[in-house]
Amino acid sequence: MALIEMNLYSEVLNLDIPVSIILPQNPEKPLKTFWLYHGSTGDHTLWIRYTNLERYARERGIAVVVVTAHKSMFTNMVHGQNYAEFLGVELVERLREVFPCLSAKREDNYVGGLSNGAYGCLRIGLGYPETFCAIGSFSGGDAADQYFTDDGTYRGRRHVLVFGEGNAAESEHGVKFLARRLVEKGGPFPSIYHAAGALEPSGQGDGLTWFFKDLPFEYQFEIFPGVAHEWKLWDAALFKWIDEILGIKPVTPVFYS
Amino acid sequence: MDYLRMQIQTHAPRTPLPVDMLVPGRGEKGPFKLAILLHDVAGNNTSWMRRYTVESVFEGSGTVVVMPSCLNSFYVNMYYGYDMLDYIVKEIAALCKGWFNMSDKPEDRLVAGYGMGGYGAVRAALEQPVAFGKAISINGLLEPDRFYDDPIPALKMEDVFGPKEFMLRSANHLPNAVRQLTLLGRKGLLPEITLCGGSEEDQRLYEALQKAGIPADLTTEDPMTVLAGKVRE
Repeated sequence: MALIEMNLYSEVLNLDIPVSIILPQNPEKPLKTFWLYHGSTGDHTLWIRYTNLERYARERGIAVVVVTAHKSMFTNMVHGQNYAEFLGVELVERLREVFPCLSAKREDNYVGGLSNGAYGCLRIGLGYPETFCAIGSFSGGDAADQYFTDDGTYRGRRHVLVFGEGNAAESEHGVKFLARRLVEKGGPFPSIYHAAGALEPSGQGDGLTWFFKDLPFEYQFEIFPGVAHEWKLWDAALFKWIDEILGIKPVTPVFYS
Repeated sequence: MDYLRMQIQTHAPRTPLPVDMLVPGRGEKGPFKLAILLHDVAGNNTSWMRRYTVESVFEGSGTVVVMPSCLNSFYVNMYYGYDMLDYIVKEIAALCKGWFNMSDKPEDRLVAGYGMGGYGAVRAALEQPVAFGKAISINGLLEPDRFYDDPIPALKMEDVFGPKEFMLRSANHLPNAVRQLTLLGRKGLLPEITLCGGSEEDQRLYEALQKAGIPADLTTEDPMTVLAGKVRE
């Protein structure tokens, strides 16, 4: 396996963006590709530093792309750049142009993320459903469904930069909005694997479990016992999600507990 | 161009090694050419980018530029150590072909180096003419046997090349590699070798290449101008 650190120029952002790519050497067929997003304080290096990601990739023969999206929350910022367009369109197109070994088929492309990136992968997966067939959202939900105001705090200001003042749920930032829009259009519907730790605030699914219940999405919510908002959970959930997508049944179903 | 830094698992040297690459920018359509740039003694994958303005030389030429790190190996299959010649000659092009849209023509594959890398470039091109259509040596250390008597710090010549008598009879002694290639007699598949510099070593190898009928050029022109020209031929 090769671990590639790429500096990719984005026209959409007019910025050089660092991207980490885990790539099988001498691939024999187009590679199934997992696109992973980081948390609010993270970058493209964390998935590789804190999980067994490269080992999973080697064992399963897949490609993995981990990208930095800074503080954009993976959406088109109200006061900032169009990160959703970069992540959902430009990054995918450019990497497939550079690496024709990456599969361009929808059924071979999956988007996942943790915490802030858990919202991000729902935002991108539901916003660009023709590109991604599956979403793996770990410890997050509809981050846009809150009332945001610049109350002088760092958190308040950061959210206003991304979503603007007020509630952004009924805009292209809203997970539920994007899902409903997709239902109206009649698909295609990415499958959603939603995981959370029993000991964290989003352990109840952030209100998405009831929402997706009645929609035509293949939605699965799983609570991992004994873990909080932490890498132990995301490492286990990622491995489980990869195997579910590839149809690999673990020898011990409770290997992660 | 986009800049890639990576760690790959190599097969011939059987060790993970860092590699830097520049890939053609958006809009440049393949199939792409290949240029492998070899560093000097004490260098690594970062040396070319630090020493030369590599990106401006290759910009717009539709070339995947590969800058490997080969330690102080002289790019040979070491007597005691790593099989770096096999890595350069066989492995890198195969790796690029697996990932990128690469051209299959030998004339679209170039190997260049300075110092020890200049020797490596000529050695690699003489070893397997279908691997590289062009080789460029910049102030190459083309007669490394002299370092048996004038040692390079922390570089054991015996470990790299074996005993001196052995080295002088092997294809790692470039005049032997020239003879070996001529004996194979593969007309039309000879690499085109450019020697940048004006040393006596350059002169002697140039004469040997000419005598053997291998297309060669000896020049004192700016190496980056030569490289930029060769890659756009």
